[in-house]
Amino acid sequence: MHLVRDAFPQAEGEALTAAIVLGIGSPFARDDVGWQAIDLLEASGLCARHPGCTLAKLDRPGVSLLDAMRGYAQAILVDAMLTDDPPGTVRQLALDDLACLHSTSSTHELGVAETLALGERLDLLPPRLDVLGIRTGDSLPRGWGIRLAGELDEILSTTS
Amino acid sequence: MSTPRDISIRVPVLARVEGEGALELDVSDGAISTLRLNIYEPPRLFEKLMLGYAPDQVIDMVARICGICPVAYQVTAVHAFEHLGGLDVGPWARAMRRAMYCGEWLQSHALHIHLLAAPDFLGFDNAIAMAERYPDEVRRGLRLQGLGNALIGLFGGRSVHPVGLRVGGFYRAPDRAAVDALNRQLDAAVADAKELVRWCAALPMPDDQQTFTSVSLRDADDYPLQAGRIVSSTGLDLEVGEFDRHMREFQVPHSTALHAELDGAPYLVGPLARLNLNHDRLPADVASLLRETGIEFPSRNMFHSMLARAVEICVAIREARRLLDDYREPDRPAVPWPPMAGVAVAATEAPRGLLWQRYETDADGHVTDARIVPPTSQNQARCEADLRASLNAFGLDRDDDELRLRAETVIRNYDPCISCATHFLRLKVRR
Repeated sequence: MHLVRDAFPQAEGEALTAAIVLGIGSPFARDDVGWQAIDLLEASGLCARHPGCTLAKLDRPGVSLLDAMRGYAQAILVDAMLTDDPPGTVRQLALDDLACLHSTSSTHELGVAETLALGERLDLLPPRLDVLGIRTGDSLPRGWGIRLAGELDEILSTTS
Repeated sequence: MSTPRDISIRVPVLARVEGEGALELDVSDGAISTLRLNIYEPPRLFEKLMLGYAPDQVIDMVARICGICPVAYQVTAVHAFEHLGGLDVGPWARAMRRAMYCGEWLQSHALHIHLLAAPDFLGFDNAIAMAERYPDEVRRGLRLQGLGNALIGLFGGRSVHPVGLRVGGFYRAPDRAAVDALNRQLDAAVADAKELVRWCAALPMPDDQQTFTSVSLRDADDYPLQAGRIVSSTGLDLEVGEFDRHMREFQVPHSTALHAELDGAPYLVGPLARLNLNHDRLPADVASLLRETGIEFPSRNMFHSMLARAVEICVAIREARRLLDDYREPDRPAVPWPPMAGVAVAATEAPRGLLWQRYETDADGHVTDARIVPPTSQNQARCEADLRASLNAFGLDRDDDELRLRAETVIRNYDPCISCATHFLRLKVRR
């Protein structure tokens, strides 16, 4: 776990430190991990460790995800994923990794992967964007929130 | 003489619609023998889930029927319960509901035009591919959709499944500063909306003239949205409560969404039906803009639905701005509503068309019977008739990819919301 205090000196100014962590989810089929993540990050004091960092939850935002990230120098998305990893595994995903998640079927709205692809094409993404996937499951192991907070601390501490 | 081909095309799930369905198409001896829009999404049983609940609980439940058009479900339900007791919510709540509803038209239509339907007419697989060549147009769509969401959120607290509406009015009134900020956004969006009308009118559209019955609300003065009588292009002019004497819903084996007929025949609801029946109710500046395109309404070309949506975006922005002009917070955002037994009926114009609801309540006001007739299920029989006509006009000798794309384009043109109706596309062609 990385406990970074005052990682961003005030002199650096808000523009450099303003970041939003967005937990994306829905109430169905264990898709609420992104929301749980925000609760755990709030409880861990993430925003106190990283002034200028905001936490928010989104319910299947579609293209309004682009609006939610607008104005921030950095956005970190936290979403549930289904992989062969054990439940609770946290993975940092590249936009290219998301291609396999494209699912233009069955919905009016675009999913996260398609929305980010659209945002990239239209130059609407924040200067720095990280996507964290959390392997969801019926029961997540204790401590996954601490590992997630550690990942967030590391990402936010490397922002310059 | 060549032997007819045996061909099977499968599109596992139709993209760019809401919900799940498939199309089955049989062609034998050069003619369509079977054409079914197969809706297999499981039934959602909302009409039964609501039994025993109080009206203000029902308002929050119906919002969950659809993530795109929750306001339509909510406004129709509150109107029904208010009509039951003859409750007059006053001019402020009436105007603010119309403004909120304009937000839903704006976001839904902008989404459909730019992200769902336009790629069909411009030759792209999806909006992401279209954005490479048409970035400004896609950005415009996102701006307009975002503005619609903001307008819904102003009154509903959030744009998806909003929570602001209640029987008798609203839970709270937005403050003046928030309305002023939104008015500035509405003013800025007028240019986008006008350009959108011109753009849609210039899109390459098939000239596919068909005969169909249009059905919509008709308001005494305004372009219809949340009030009026139900009228048809066949001359019906009905009180909302009379509609089910002419409209019949029925089950077909291949669909978990009901089909509907008006006096025994398929009919159309939605933007094209509304504009066909209410073009004389357009605000003068929007009517003038439409005239400049040279496309006349009523139109028998189903693909003019796109232009109708663009026109309705203009109406929505103009109306919302008018209604929010000189905004003042009311003394109270809602009037009391006494629970009572009776039959409650209302209809409004959801983005996809006429939405009709009927409730029976007991003396405590709790729902004992509910019936919801959404636009997509009303359009299903018409959509099948359209597919048959469109594919015949297109030419059944086309190759399978062309036929599949045309079929998908026809279906997407209705902006079907299958989840609302169940209530997409595996295309199987056998020849």
